[in-house]
Amino acid sequence: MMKKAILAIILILLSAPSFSAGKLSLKDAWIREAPPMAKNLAGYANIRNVGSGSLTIKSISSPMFEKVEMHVTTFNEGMMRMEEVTTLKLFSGETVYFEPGGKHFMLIKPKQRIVAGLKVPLKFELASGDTVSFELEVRK
Amino acid sequence: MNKKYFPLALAVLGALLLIPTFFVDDEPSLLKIPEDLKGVFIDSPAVDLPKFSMTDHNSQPVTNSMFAGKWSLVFFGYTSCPDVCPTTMSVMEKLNREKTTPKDTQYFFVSVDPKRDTPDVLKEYVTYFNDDFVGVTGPRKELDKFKEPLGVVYDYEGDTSSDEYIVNHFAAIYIIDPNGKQRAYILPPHSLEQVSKAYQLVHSHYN
Repeated sequence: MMKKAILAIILILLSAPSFSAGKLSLKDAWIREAPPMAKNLAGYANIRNVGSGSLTIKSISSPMFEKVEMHVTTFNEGMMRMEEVTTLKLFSGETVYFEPGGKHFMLIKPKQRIVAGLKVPLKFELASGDTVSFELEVRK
Repeated sequence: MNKKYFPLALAVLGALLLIPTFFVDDEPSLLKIPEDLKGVFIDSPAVDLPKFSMTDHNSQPVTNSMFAGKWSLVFFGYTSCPDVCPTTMSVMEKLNREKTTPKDTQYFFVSVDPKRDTPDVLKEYVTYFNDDFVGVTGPRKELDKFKEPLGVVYDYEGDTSSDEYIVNHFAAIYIIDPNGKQRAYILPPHSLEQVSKAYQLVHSHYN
């Protein structure tokens, strides 16, 4: 009886995901608190695909901001430039670091005052059609 | 040679040897930056700044005299910049709180986006980081005069008639001595450790 049950479970586990899917995970996710008049804020996180297949982030939104984009800051001998990253693909097991002076979430036009301690939800829309939400903590 | 003229010749030769010292400023020796301290450049000889006339965040006129008598750290940026500018500003704020930072130091944020960064906007921005920080801006003509010898470049990207354009800019921190001359600059991305070490070295060597 026990053996049959285990076998059944194994069969279900093997047959159920006939496709491999990506799964988004965010670690050390935070937003730098900005002066009250700031029109743009930046968010950072270690973005990891913990799923078995690749995934692509298509767009991001937040109820607390008018617009959220992914940007990358580049330095060329001291010259600072910003470019939009329109989509971000992560292979299974891949981590992309969003950190100061590099890739970041560009949070445009806050709808409320964004102060340290506040948790800001970000909704990620994936190319697969799935959406997944994470909270970023505002820090000084 | 006639022995009579020998002392005279010696005197002339001596005078010739002395000439260079009259023309060389008493410029201190070049400070050597340790190899593990990245992105730090010494200006030797120090760079003179041209006469400029700009406005501080209280709408008061400021000129080169704002540098007189104190060491200054000057950062160029704009307040709509989400990533690099707040990072560097918070590094400068932490530096200001470090016990090892020389006390005769003042901090300036110069906006390269005078259209959006009016004195009022600047005031809110810089005083958010520290009440003693000074925001400086001015018409493009004056700003360009000021930034030219420092090697600051900037350009606008996107629709400048909207409020969403990006300003790409040279984002170094400049170290200006109490005579108003540029002594060194530190390239981004800035960390507290890097800026603190570099500033202490420059300050103690050239003070």
